[in-house]
Amino acid sequence: MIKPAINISLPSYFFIFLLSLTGCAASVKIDPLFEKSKLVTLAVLPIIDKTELPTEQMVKVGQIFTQELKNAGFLVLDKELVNKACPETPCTDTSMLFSNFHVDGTIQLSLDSSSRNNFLAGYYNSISGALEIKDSAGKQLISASATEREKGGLLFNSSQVLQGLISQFANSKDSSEESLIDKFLKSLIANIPRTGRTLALNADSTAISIKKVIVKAPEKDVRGICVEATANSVVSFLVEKTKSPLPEVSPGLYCRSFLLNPPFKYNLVQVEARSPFGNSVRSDVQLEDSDPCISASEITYDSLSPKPKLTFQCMALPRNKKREFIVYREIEDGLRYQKTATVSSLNWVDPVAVGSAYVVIERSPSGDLSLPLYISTKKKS
Amino acid sequence: MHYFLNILLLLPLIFSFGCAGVYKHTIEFDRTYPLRVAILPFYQIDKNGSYSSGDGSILLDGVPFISEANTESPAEFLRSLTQKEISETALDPLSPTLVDLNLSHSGLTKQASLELDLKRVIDTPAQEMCSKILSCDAVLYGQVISWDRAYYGIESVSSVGLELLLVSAKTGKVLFSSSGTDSDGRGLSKGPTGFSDLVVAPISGLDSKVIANLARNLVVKMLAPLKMPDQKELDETTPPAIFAATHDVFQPTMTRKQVLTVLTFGTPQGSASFSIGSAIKDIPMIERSPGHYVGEYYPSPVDVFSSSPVVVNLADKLGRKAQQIIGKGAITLQ
Repeated sequence: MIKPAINISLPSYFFIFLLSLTGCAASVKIDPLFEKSKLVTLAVLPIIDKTELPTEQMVKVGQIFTQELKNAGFLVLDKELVNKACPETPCTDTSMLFSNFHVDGTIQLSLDSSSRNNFLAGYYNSISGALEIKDSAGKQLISASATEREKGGLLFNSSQVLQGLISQFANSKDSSEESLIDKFLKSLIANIPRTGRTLALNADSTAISIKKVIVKAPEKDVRGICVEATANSVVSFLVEKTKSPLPEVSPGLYCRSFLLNPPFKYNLVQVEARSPFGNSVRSDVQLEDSDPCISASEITYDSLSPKPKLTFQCMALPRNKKREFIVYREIEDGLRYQKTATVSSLNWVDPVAVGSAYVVIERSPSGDLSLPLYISTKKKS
Repeated sequence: MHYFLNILLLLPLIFSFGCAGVYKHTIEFDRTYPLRVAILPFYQIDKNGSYSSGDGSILLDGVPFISEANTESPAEFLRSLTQKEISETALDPLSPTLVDLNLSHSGLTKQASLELDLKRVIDTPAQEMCSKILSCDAVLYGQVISWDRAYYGIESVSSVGLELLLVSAKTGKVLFSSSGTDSDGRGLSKGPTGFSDLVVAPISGLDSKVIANLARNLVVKMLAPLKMPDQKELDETTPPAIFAATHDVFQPTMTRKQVLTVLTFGTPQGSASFSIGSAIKDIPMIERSPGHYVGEYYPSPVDVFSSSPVVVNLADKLGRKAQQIIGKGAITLQ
């Protein structure tokens, strides 16, 4: 026979019953215009925090809120774009979000209070807050508030001793606060009615494409990456595990130069274009097939040949692409060079056999010239 | 003596009802790569072999004053939990709205209905899914194996089972698989403190909150390998460290014709990058020689930053990160 460890009086049961009644209460106010608005795309404004949650918790709240909105069927505007349009909290002017990104509405989350009380025999945590959705005219379409409470430990699980101990232990973990926030946000967002959102989606807001990727080689190890993609999107250069955003230098053109590791044998080199609402396309980047592509280490001198023989190597040079190599031979004084030949093959033998040093410049099919590269006729080591 | 015998007889029963999670996983890819993952609608297969997202009323019980209401089916609920957990890994999950929308627009619906034909969705090869229907690098399939709440008078047991499969769109290979089943009981196994509790506790154990919390913990445990590597791997290697970092801008301002070179000395074979404030993010750095990283920033005509610190990041192959703010002060682009 298992004996009761804790005796709970009748008034205590009544108190707990009252607590369970008050738990998770939510209030919702929906404007008649909400049904007509058919919200699909939302801009999540920076959270108004009236609590004293640490910064990292607030970041977490923002991430979970965005994810729960996505799970609820909304398309959420990229956070970076919102931050650019609304650098201050609270955001006073949201017009740019509507004009530039054509969002259907803005959503504002405010956290009103948060508390964690652990009194050894039990714990009682709560978080409360509200959300508000407004349209482009600033009219409030919906407002909802909710409070999520969580209690446990031996005091609140007096009828289940082991469960009380388990919940008390679980409450001591960092993840318990995240779990409470998670439930709070889920219940808050559940107040927004589903009104056939996906059917009302405007295809233009999610259209995304990469038209062209241009790679330039201003220097041996440097690659200038330019991407022609849908304007007003978020374009990034991905090299291995690093994702580097490319700035939009003109509408639909995104460019930046990077120092990279030759011979550019990366597992992943791509560019990604992402619509403001999160759908993306990626395209592989051929770093080797740049314009122009030769480098000093890729020109060799064949010392076994009776006459100086230069071999131009370009790993990425496709066989069907024609390139020109302009060869300059050193003049006797050793200070000047004279244009000697323009060749399109990958080998060239100096018919005169007097050169002691050469400078080679590559001209790409698009007419770009490489940096001049020097080669001496000394024996290869 | 008689009292102890009773306890001994009860113990196997208690353990059989208690939490007994079984988790297995395999991981065949570098989990730190930012693969774009399409999380398809989760499904369950009934006794007749038909695919469904489950009955919404299974989770919805909203008993007044006892249980919270939930309008999602078990499959939808588990998918939303998975979506959230995946978003906390290095993977890049597609928005579920866009996934569902594109699946519908591709005709993967039942005849004369907008409802998805889950069997056709699941049977579509990952390669076709990612190239023709969605734009992704991998597809995540989720099958709900079990979702039960059983009542035995003195004990109620909630159990959840799920199988996840991440398949590469490029190779068709399974990159990650995870299966888990777990249960949680209320009643005799959780130490009732009286006869009345023995009756009441199993009933309150049928609350959807219990099974929802169980499902939440299950998904967290199943996807934990994508967040953190094995403890053994962590124990055997040292986390990355940045020993020194500097850049070549000696004035607080730099011009647009200038190139900012950043040097870092840290743990070899890492993945390094640097950022300038919040305006210029994650410029990749290359490892010239073991532990010596160099990166260059070429200003673009549209770049704007002022009084921004240069911050170097170094990550190892397990995804652990080190960060250092270069102590030469903030810089401004003129």
